[in-house]
Amino acid sequence: MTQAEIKLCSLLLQEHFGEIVEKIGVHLIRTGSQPLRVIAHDTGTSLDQVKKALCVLIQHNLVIYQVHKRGVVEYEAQCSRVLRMLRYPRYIYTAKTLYSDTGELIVEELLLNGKMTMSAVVKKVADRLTETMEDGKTMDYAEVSNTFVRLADTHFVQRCPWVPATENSDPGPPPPAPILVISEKDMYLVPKLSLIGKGKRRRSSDEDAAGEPKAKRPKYSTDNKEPIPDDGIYWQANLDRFHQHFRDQAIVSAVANRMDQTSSEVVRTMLRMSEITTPSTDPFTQPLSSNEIFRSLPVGYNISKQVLDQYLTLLADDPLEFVGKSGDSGGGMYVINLHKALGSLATATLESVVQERFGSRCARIFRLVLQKKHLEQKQVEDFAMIPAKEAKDMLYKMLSGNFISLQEIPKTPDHAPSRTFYLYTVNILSAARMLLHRCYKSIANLIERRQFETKENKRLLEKSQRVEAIIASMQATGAEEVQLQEIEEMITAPERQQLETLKRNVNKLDASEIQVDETIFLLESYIESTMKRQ
Amino acid sequence: MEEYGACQGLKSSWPSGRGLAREWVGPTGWDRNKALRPRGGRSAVLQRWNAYPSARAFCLHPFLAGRHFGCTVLPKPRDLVSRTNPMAGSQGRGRAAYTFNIEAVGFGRGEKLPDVVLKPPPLFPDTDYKPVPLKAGEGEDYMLALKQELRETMKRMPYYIETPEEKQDIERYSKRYMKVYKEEWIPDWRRLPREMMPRKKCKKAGPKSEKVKDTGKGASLTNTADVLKKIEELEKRGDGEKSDEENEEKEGGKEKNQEGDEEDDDAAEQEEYDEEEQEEENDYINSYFEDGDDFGADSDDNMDEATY
Repeated sequence: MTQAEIKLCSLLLQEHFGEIVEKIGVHLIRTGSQPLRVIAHDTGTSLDQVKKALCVLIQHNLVIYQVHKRGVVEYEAQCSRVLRMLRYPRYIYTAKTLYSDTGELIVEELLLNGKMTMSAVVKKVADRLTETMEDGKTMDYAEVSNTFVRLADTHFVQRCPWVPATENSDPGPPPPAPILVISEKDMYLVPKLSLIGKGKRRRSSDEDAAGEPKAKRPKYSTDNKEPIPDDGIYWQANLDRFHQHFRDQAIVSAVANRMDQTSSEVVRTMLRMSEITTPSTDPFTQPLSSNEIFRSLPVGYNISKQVLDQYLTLLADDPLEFVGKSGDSGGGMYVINLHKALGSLATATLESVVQERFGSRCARIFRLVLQKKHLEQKQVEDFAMIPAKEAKDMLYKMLSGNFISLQEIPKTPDHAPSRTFYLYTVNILSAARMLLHRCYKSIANLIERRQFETKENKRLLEKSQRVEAIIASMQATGAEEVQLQEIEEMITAPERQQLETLKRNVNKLDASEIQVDETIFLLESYIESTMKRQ
Repeated sequence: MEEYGACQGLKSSWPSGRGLAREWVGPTGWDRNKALRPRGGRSAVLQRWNAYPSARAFCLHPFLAGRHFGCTVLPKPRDLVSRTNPMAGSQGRGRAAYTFNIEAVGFGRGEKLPDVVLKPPPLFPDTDYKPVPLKAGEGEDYMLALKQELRETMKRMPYYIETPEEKQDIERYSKRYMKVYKEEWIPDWRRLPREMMPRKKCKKAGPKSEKVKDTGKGASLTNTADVLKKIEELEKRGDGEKSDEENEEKEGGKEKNQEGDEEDDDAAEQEEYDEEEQEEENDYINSYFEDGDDFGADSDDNMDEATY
């Protein structure tokens, strides 16, 4: 794990789970697999707190445990999973676009809680939805269950590995840690539950008295004494499926940008058809015949068979090679080259970064070297039609930025520098890795800056929160306009200005984080796909 | 070539013109044998390498660190003009000369090259081009709002473990009203290693974990006997015990039995527990004297009053 990744993980864990969990988590990421006592000793925290922190981390699938010989249980952190926490808003938003509010809330609950049973999810989501509905209406459990089942069918949620039901004839002491198993076919199997009920609206009177909520809430959660029907069957969000969806979205939008709407629809249809048949890590999808594609086009699209064929031929001939033709049976067998598509997307990202950092002439040189693979200094100047001095300058700028590298080809066996060719080349994989590392650093910087800004204005923020609370309570009890204005004036105009600036800055920083994360996704997918092929 | 021997790995990253190796011209002119063998062996080579901080610094420049550096390092330009024969490796140190044809990399002879940078790049470098504005749209706005909302929600979840703050000198009145009430979260102990379970004697959420363990393990039959014994013991010891204390002890005992480890803490904990229990159970001070003891006879020297 690089330092940048560790720093980013540390910031994310601290924001979401607090300092203690962050300390333990970062220690595990740094040092790898360790048993409980060693962790407590090395981090200097009490055993009790280490246990709590590990429970939280295991619950959220950030740490896994393994039983080694002699009964020692070792805990290992999953750094890449910690980095996924950046992407939670994107997952939730995707669920919203696909399955509307119910789906969105289901995925949100699963992501916030790590793992949950289906009944718990349904209940919570129904309660939340009921609160947003108008008075008198409630959300039925059945509807939420239906959405849950649909999410499971399309593999967006999956079951967690479970404790195998062992017979009680097991002699001897129980194992130090349960070995969790999972089988492929059971992963999306929804238990037969008959969840009947409606969402409960939380009464606003619960929150009035300060002392009461504490007493009331624990009782509320242990309200139902009846046994949970699907006890032990936990569900989690299937992040890989979301990633597959993002990848498909990226490919479709790339095709739409390059060609037109109809071709992007064709590609989207092809991707949809291969969702279940092709595992997401394959370099290309299963071949689809033109007839099948024609039959599966969305209903609104009525293009004729010939037009479809023309589109497919056009797509297959495109130099970007998103779609390839693999045979002629069935009207032409077409595949989508997933690996090549990801490569093109990563390359486009690199090109755009070079353009924005160094200018468009640099970008021209970069694209030139990409296209021609290896070029000498002189050839670069000639092909790019840029004066020698500037070309040199730009090349060396890109060289020091590690976008371009030098390849030496010796003419003589003694590698004498005077008798060696030096060729400029772009190694996409290493440039992608370099950019990815930079992205991690950027996000860490963004988060730090945001925390700094918030800390600077902490006093002001608290004051404004209090004022808002006062205004809200006064409005609830029906106060006059004059009184409200008086309270609002507690915050002076320059303070208001300061708050506005703070809000704008924090929004900008947050939005930047989300967008850098999109780049991270593209680069990571490309690197993963390339590594799988080697 | 084999003559290189020890320096084979270094040959492409050597600074040029340090009189180190292959291009070395001795006083008798080009002496191939002498040239191909590095003077002094590998350690000497490394010493000489280390003696030229500028060249090293250039090589280890953060931008270039870690790259396979194919071409030789560009040396200091100051002696460029005076060099007529770049191949004439120096007889001394610190003379910059190129061992390769400078034309090949694109610089003309006599050209002013930029200075060697000897320090890390600035912390906030100036950028020539300003960044492109962020994407704006419905989706992006929604995700932004979601992100901020999630951040707030996470702080209120039971998974957010707060650091215990150090005691402030003055206890603020408003602190009482700003506490966030969090739900208690109990993990499913069946899915976790056994060592995860806390071993405290009293747990607020004891009854819940008890229930979970009951439905899960179903091994409570063996423990009820122990529990009953313990309850009897406790009944003998204490009279004014509250019922919840009893409950706590019950699961405390149950937990310890279920874990079944022979750890020393258990015994120690039980002992401590007993002491505390005894202390709490009655209202009498431990140091109470019975009648007849010498009460205060040797304690207060200046006491004039009579004792009663």
